[in-house]
Amino acid sequence: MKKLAPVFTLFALFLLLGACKSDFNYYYYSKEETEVLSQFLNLPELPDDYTVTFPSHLSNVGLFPRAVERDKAVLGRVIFYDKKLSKDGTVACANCHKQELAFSDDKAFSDGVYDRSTTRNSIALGSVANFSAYYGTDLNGSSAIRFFWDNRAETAAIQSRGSMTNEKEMDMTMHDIATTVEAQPYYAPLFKKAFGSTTVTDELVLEAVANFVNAMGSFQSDFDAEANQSTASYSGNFGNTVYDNDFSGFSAAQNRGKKLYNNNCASCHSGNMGRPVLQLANNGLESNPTDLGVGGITGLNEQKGSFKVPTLRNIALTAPYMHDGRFANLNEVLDFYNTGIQNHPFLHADLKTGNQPKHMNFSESDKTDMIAFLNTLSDEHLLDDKKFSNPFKQ
Amino acid sequence: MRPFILIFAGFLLLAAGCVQYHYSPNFVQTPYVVKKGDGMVTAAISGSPVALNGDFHASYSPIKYGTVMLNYFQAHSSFTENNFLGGPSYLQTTKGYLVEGAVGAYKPFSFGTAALYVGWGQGQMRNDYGINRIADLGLQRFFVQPTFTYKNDWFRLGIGLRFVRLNFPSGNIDYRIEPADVVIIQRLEKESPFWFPEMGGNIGIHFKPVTISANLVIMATRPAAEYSFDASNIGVGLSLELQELFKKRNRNSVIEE
Repeated sequence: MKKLAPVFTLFALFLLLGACKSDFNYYYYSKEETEVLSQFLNLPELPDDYTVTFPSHLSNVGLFPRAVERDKAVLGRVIFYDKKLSKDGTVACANCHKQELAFSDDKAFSDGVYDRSTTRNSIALGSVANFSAYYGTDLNGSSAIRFFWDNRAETAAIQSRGSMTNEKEMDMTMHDIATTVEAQPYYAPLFKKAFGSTTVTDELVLEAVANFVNAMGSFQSDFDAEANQSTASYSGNFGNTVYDNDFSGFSAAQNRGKKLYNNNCASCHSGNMGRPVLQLANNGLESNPTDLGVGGITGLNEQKGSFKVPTLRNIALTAPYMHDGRFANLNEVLDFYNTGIQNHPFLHADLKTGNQPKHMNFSESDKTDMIAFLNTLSDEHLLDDKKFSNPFKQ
Repeated sequence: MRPFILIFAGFLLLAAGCVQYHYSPNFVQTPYVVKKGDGMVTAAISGSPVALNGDFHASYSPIKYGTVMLNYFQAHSSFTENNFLGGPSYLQTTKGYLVEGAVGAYKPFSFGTAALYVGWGQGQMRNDYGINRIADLGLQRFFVQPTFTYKNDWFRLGIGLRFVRLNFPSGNIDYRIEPADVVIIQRLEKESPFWFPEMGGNIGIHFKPVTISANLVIMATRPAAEYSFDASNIGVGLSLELQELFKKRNRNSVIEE
């Protein structure tokens, strides 16, 4: 046995050496790809995770996010911030959808190419509970929730195309977009990662943007944290009734504001801040509207003057309000619902008392409480989440 | 015999691969050496629900009560996955090997031996997820293995309990592989080394100097799926006992003389 002692010693040595070493290398971009990308972009060495997870109070009632493909979202992020993809090279999607404003704009009408101005207020992307996430719709299929204030786009991809080709926004053709993308050296490695090839088509560009936009979840709000807690003991479809109960982590004012919201607003905007109850409504902004909204697209008389009903996530961050940005702050919005609703043949029933526009009669303290509640819908994490930020080197 | 072989071959083909894995146990070798100068070599093929493997083993007793052992293990699986990019489907493969050496001390009895082996080896598992997405992990294994063997003129039975220390010291991983697999690999990196027992053995019919055996190894306690470990292998082996082979040759040469 003595002869074997050196061998045993050698094994022990191997064992010790093995315990010390740990050398794991994760790579995503090749050296050549990194060289190209790093000239133009600040992308992390390994791609960010764009998985969207809904808070339990939403997933418990059957709402779920659509899957986001990471590599496409990475590509989509670059396209979203790329000003080269506009006619005069000054406008990107991000110009009208600013991260620090929950991907909205603080102007009533945003600036487009050649100092042109858009005709409607920029919809806050971070306000939407994952664009096409509802009940099994997918990116390329019809979404239960449509896009734009007049609901003319079925999918996020169609919505992106609408903005890229709008002469008041980016004023490109999709052919121009694809050609411009193809000409930028930094897109080749990103396309290869996302689609397995460097071939650029307008469909692939839109698919990438849609993946990025769909990843913009904003579910780390105080409201979600409280709603998760309050609904934890419920199972199945508990509807909105659970949201009527006071949230233990809310102040008295926030709980009063929540109650007022549930009694006066939730029938359209939803109590759980998931899927809006209504897709469109005439909310009586004007008795004789010049902007026909949904009716301008469908031609249906009863839809003239109707607009998309958004969820109110991040609402406190996304002033000004309404499709034309006419209200500068939430106080003005509540004042409008207090006394300003105009009569219209197709004014939504919830905004009527008999045949007359409803006056909600919020007191000053009611308004303060409601605004306190609406502030709980903000997800501040979204505003400085690096994976949604501008990747271009300034 | 032929139907049995066909059924077994069919089983192995069915058993071969459908997911990637980062470790697969080789057979617990139980050398049938009872005295100085005894030796054996074994070749075996094995399958599991995810793999088709080759096992090669050589052992020799250079001194009284002492054995050295060399094992080589080759793992392989492959399957075709539909291309999520919408293009043509592509092949995904797992290839791996482990080379190890061990020394052991044995106590012979009239019916067989009791032995204790200590061994160390290293190898690699390479998972190719298609479209050049590869996760390459280096692995090292240390083991202590008590074994018991029983043998008579026509029968062989060996069982062993292998206490394993499995370490993944290095890896080269394309981050484009399935995110769930990245999570598993990161878990391996973080939690390695692992200590766990593996049980195994073989049972065979002996036709001097050859043994045809059935072999089995089972990872005893690890929650294998959590780490993409292949938890077991089953297969057939062919062994040659060198002392019998040489004895036979010597006898033949004496007769010829």
